[in-house]
Amino acid sequence: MDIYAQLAARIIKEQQSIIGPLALAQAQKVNGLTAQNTDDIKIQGDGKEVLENLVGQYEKFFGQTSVEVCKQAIEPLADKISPNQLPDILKN
Amino acid sequence: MEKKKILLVEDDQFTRELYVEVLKDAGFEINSAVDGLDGLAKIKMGRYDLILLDVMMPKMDGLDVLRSLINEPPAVKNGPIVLLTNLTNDPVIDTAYGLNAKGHLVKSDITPGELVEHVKKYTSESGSFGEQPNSAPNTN
Amino acid sequence: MPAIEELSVFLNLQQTVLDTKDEESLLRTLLKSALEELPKIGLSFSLITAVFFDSRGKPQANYTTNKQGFDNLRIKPGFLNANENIKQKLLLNLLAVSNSPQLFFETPQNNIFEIKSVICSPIRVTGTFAGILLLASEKNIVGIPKTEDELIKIFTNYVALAYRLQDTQASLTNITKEVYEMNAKLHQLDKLKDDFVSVASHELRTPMTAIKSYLWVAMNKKGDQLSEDMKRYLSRAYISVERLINLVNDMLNISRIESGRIALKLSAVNLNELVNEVTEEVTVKAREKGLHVIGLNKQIPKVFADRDKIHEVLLNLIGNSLKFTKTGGTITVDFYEKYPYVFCAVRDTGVGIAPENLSRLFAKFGRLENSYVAVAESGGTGLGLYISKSIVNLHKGQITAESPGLGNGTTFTFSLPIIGTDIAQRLKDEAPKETDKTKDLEKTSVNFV
Repeated sequence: MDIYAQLAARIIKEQQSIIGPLALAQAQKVNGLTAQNTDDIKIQGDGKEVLENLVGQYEKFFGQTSVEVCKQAIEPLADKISPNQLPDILKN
Repeated sequence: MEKKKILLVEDDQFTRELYVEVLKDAGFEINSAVDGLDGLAKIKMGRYDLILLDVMMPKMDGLDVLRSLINEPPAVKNGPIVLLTNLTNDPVIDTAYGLNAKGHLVKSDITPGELVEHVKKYTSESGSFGEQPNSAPNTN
Repeated sequence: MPAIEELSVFLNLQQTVLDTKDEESLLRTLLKSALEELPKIGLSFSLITAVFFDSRGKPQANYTTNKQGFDNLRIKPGFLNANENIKQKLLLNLLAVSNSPQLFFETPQNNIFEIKSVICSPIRVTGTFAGILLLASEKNIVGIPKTEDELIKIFTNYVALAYRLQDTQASLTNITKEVYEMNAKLHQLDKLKDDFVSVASHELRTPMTAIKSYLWVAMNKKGDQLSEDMKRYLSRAYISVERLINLVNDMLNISRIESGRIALKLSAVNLNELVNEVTEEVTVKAREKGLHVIGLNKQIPKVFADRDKIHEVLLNLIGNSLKFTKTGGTITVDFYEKYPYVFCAVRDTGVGIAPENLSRLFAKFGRLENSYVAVAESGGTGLGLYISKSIVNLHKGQITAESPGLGNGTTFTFSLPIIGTDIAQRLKDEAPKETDKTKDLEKTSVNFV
């Protein structure tokens, strides 16, 4: 999995631990993201943009707290990605 | 018979001094290092029959020591490196085996007597490097 | 007989509502569509506004759509109260017309452009007056003909339906957000608890291990002779710190089990072999206390289980029996098969358990009600049976305790699924799988006086 797919997978898994199956359902609505299950995430197109859309989707349905959750989810991968590879919504 | 040489890399003073004392009493020649950097330097000077390596240490942790040895193998050979950990199920253990550690000992699980037994097994002439003593906890 | 035109217009409006993906813009889309469609059936308006009231009659939302050039019109706050007879008609669920648009709308420049009349249509939901539909017209309207009246009422109902749908959706979204917030907090607390247990047990270990090790050396240093008293003191201190280490391990294990961080590594296990292994492990301590531990080798099928975890269960049960059985006693491990399970029974000739205490055995720190007598007497952590039960249950098995009464020994029996059975298959499918978050159990040592 490329880095954006990994980031997306982590975000979805973390959201799952909070809101259960709704997390995957919302992720599947995002353009450019194919998510059969959390172990099989594919990103088409601009990874940064897809990531932004994913976080935006969660924000829309679950509120601001979910954005914080997304940020926390990707923390372990912080050293594998440079800040300008991240969409603004995920920057601290 | 020549005494077997052991290097103990352990930052906790009480643990380190106890192990040194116990192993010395058991007839081993033992050196110690107080952190990862110190340990690495001593390993490079080498000729140890066994290296006991703690994981959590200041300046450089055990895993980084292992990585450093892979990237720049010391000119002088050493015997096996055995990891010292505190938890039976630290994921660190698997990582260490992936970095050429040959065994591990759970400090909180063994008595000083058992430590000596394990060290004897690791340094015994007949035992090949890489063999784990039977009573070491199983990992996959 | 409704004309084709009317049917067609209303069909279009229905379709608009059905086609709108974003539920939160339902009303806006409907009204916008209406502005374009309604003129086809002779209902031409320059501006349509839907105003909704809350349960106390205060306006809580309004949705407006208008033709070009009518953008500056705003609803006058309190417009309804300024129009008493309009209000009365609306409350009677009748349409009302006003030729004084300035009572309804205001503009920054305070002139009402070309609006000449405002039709007011009441919106009723669940039998209450929920809002008003205002239809602003450039024509001077004197009265509303019957057919028009009906058409406007039909349209008003569409608005009401769309509002209900939109409102329900908004409620759902709010509820989802609230639930999410609560869950996020719980999740955070759970993580904090896990981190705390992890760090605490890590940090606690170093000094505990130091105590244990130094005590051991003090007791075993060659050449140093200790008085009997000193030996006893050190020995008790050693046993106590072992209890402490076991307790920390047990708490860590429980925390992992309860957080679902324990995965099962399932395989076909020969219970006879496993029991023999455990018996070997405890044989020294058993002999020291003058106890016999016997595993009866029976012909039983292999079970589907996590070998290491069942090892811990056996260690716990046999360890308990060793604790509670006096010198000269026997602990027997027996097996029997009852499809689809194999049952393993650990029987001792020990102190037994009074019937009223049997139920508390598997609880955490099981204590008797109204009594200060700890069930975990003489050296246990009070957590071992709880952990054993959790492990057995994870395997889809059961664990029970029986005792004929005090002084008559105890038998602990647990069951595990036989390989190849339906239960075993279900276990395989449903057991927690290994992930990078799962851990194994910390081992506890058999500890008794």
